[in-house]
Amino acid sequence: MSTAAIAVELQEIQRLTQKRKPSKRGLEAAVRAFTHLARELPAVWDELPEDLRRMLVDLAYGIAEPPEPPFLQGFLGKAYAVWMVLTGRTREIATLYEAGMEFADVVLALSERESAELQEALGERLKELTKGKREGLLSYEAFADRVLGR
Amino acid sequence: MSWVVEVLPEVVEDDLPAIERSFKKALKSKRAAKRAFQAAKEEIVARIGQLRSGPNQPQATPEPRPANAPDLALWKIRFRFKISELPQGTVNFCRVMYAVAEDVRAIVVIFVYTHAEYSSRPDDRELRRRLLAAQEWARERRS
Repeated sequence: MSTAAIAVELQEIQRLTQKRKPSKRGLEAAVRAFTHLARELPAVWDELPEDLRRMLVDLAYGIAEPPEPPFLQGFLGKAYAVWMVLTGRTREIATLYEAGMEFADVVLALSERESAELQEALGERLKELTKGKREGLLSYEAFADRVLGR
Repeated sequence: MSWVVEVLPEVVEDDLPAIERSFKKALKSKRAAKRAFQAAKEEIVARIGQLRSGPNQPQATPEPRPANAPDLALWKIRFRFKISELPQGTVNFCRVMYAVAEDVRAIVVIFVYTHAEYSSRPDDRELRRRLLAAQEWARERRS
């Protein structure tokens, strides 16, 4: 997929989602387009101009965050997570996770519906991501020492 | 046999500082707020320590899980701080939320807050995120 084609697809997604009252059909079309884009991105990400990358990230954040309708968050959140996984952007997944986005939903939805290949990719990334979390847990004793300054 | 009790780092990094801010807001004197917060921390640590004997504690009740949350039992202890400096009000009502992985006899404390920060309970998204971290830890413990 060429940079120009990505730009066109992005414009289409923006057109569909940034209306004052987007229609359900329009939003579903945007989800499909975004999912398609997510699959195409890994191959071209490094060659994308910075402004286009920025636009993608802004768009993904913008449409995946509240106060959009919940079903949109779910679908686009999924597309976004898939894109992050496929592009190997673990750090941004971590940011997403930290931001408390519907990541648990995304993971559950993927495990139920997506292909084995995607599940595997997500599983690996999630392991990397949650490794830090697990190491970060405090035993009761460590917690007490830290809180009470012992 | 005692239970393993772990605490999410967010409790130390986010929840306790939020409680401290609520105390500062509720108490005019900085010194009183500091003393009250120290007493509150001791009480919270003691309550969490009691969980080593099991999830079924006095004043603990099962808590509904948010939709699509990991399949871990969620419990909440409700208690009032016994701190003379604190004025009556939401800042007194402390809540400790924890996830229970019964098969590995483990408890993960995921949230500590007072009703001054959250009038009922933290939002589902944040709860889900913390439950997911607890689940990952429990999964690791099983394997």
